[in-house]
Amino acid sequence: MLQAQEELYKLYHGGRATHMIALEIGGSNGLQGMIIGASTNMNIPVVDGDWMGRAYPTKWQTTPVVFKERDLIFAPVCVADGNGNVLYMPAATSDVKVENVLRAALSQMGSHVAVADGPVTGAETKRWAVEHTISLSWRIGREVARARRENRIDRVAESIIDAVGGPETGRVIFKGKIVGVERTLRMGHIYGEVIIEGADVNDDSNSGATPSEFSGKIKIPFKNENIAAIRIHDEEKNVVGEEKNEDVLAIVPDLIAIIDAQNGEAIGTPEYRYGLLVLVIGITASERWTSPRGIEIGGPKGFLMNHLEYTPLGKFVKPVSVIDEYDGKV
Amino acid sequence: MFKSANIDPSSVASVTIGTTHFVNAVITRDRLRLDRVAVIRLCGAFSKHAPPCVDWPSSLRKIILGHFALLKGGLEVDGSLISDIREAEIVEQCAIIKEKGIKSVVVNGVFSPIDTVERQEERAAEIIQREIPGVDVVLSKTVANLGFLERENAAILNAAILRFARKTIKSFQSPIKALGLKCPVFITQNDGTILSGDAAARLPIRTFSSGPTNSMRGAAFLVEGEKDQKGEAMMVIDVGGTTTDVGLLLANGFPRQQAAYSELSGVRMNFSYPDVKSIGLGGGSLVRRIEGKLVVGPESVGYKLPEKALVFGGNVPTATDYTVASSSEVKIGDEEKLKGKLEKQDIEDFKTETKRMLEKAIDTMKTSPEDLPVLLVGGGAVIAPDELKGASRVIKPEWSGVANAIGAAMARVSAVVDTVKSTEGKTTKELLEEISKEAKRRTVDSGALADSVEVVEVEDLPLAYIAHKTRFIIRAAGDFDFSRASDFAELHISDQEINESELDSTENEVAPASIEDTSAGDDAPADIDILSYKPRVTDRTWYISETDLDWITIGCYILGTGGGGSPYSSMLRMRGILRSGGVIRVVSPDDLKDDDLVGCGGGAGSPTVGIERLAGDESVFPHPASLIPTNVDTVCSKLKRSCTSSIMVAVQLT
Repeated sequence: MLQAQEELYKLYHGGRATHMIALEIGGSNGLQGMIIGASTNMNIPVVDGDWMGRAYPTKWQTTPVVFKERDLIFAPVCVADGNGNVLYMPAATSDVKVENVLRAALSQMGSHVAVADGPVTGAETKRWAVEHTISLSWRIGREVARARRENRIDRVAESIIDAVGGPETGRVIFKGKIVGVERTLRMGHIYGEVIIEGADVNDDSNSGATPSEFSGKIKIPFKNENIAAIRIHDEEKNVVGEEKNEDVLAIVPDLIAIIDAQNGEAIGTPEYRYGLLVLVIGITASERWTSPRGIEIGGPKGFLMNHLEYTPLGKFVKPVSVIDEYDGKV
Repeated sequence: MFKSANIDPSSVASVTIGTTHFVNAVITRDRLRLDRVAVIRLCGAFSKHAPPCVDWPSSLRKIILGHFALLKGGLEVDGSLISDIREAEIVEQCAIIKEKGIKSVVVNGVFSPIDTVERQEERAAEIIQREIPGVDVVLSKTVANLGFLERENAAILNAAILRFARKTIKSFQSPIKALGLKCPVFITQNDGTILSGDAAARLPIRTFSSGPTNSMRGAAFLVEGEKDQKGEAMMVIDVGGTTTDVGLLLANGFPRQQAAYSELSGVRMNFSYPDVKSIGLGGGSLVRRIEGKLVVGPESVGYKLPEKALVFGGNVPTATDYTVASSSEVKIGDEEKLKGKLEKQDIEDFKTETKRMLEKAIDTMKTSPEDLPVLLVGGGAVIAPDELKGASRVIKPEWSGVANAIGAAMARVSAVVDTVKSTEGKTTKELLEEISKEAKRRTVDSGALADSVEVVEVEDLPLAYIAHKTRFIIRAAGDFDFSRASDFAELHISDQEINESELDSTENEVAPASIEDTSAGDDAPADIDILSYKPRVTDRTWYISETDLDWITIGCYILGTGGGGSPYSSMLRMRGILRSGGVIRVVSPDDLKDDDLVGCGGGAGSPTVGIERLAGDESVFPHPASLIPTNVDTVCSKLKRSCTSSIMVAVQLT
């Protein structure tokens, strides 16, 4: 991480960063901004926000690209693989081009690299960032921790939904057991789908004692991230590319998270495993994503699912900033 | 037992043993049974931020981790080389390991579970075995799957317990032969299936939680007759001599499993494991006053109860003695022997304390606030009261003392198929069906009844480096067919083990304190009151604490919608920064000045890489000229003072 930053500012002459922001709040990158900004590293504060409000598989699926106030956001850019290979790209024809060049390099750099982007201004950040997302993850984590402490793991999905703004913005889409996973790796992305069979996850499905709240099966196709939750019918063939809109329970840019029913932790696409009991939660995307251009980039088309349309799951609720709530209260 | 049951030994079809020996050694941090382990990572420049055992409780790390080295080697996700292994490096480490007297070595390579061509772990193991004769080498890929740290953790625990496990399993043989039994010995594993004795001797980690699993499965069997208990989840409390295990038994008769990642005694691993909480309370628990307060356990006389307890004429007041004194119904030993030895107040306090301990354990294990039936089993069940808070009713089934043995006897047989197949011409689904069939066939071959066999575990790992090849791991399980038991009688453990030093010499003493629970213990942040906790925000700057970090980590992964990679290793790194005094500040976007410059950084790529090839950016620097051998303290103080570009060079060294 740091090596990419170090190399970037050696070659980039537009000035050093005064702040950091995470590329994406989702997953490991949600912490990277804070690690880079820590006093033992670059020693600069981190902005409570990010360019995605979630995670996406590509760099052009970010809010600065949605706003497109500039032709090019993500160059200059510097990448390092941690194994001695560094790449600096001072200019490019488009953000998609930057992504494509980095992807090509990626497969030669072990499918995982650290990326440092040239800084943007404070004014731009205010306009483009998905705001208060560190606060949002803090609130989600607090509710999960609370559900565990108060022995309410069977209601953890509802707790998470409360944390993100309540039932008007989030919903439990499905509860069940993972009964199938397929994955392939192409150009540094994992593609695949996971199939979940409805079950009462707080007990066991196969006893047949109580009919489950959720029945049937759904599939969740993914490209690094979950793309959609789609009901499948046993009598029909499950063909990719022929899914119907009426079977879509949730779709990008809305967030679709698979949660471990046993402890409320997220389960990532590499960890999907036969037999795990899971909750599927949908959260309405930030309004930064629901403009026509936002849906074009971050919606079904951004994943080549042109036959499906985006219907919002609910109404977006802006997360309350921890800084606003607690400033001076300790 | 055979005498009282009037059974001819030759009619016994098999002996299945569930053991808590191995897991107890870990929980009690037993230095005599846990070997020190050396860890050789084949990782090239990666994983430096998370050295072996980084997330372990320090007491356990100190006992087990004897040495580690990060050497050249490892694969990328696509199977290409991070680098090849270097024999000279390994030989050099072997000399150190030998010098330190370590007899158990773990080899863990980045992406080793997909390494079917380079065989780096295997080649490294050959070198180690050649250099250190008689050493045990555990290959991480034989223990668990993708997930670098978790696989390594499991492999290290496995290596630490290997010698003791081999000896224990061997020792099961002699009494069985002495009884005139000629039948196979099986060890039950975590999920209630059985392993052959020699497989268990290689992978004791797989049997760690068989004790509680057996008790719970046995308990389910015992209450099966009672109609109203069917289709209902129950809390099972298994009270033994030293510890009590509490777990949730699902309506289908199997214990509730832990999550995708599980924890044993504070060590994180990546295979499923029954979710059981152990507390230091049992029939043999010592009862005494410490600083005026009545304390029960965790020290225990263990299996020496029949000679040490007061009711048996011994001189140690135990939980059993107090139970006999407090109840007119419980008849154990000679009640007369208690006369004048126990205070009335102590007996009352004992009852209150035992009840409190059990109720607290029930409360922690509950998944919903409603009361549920509590099933008391195990040899020590008598010490528990008939009413408990949180229990809709307390059931002590007949034969509850042998629930564990019943569970072991009804354990199932399983077999694994681990194979690489071409997905060209056949879909993954077709292949899965084919391999499932093969796994079922092998399960039958290993002794299962054909119509009881089902698939219990499926994993497929695409090997991107060989076009259209995927590694499939499928496990099936079924009930044991006792009519064919004689086919499986031989146990293959080399005889050299018998000559090893007598490990069990300590058993005559009082069992060591068993650590109160299986949480991370010494390294866990103190319990905070979640509702009243306030993050530190002053002058509109949020200073991140460890609690904040824990919560943010959970939230980030959920917001990752399956991607973004597991934040676990980043969390460890960030926690390291906070613990060493580093400061992490967060500000609101609303407070940015228009001309501020906001930089951005993060990782890009496949999230699978994130759980396997851990960060190591500080270790390699492409311009050796800028590597300044500076004292780290000086660097850090410089960092705090200013923010110039020279810092960036220094950062590489911290």
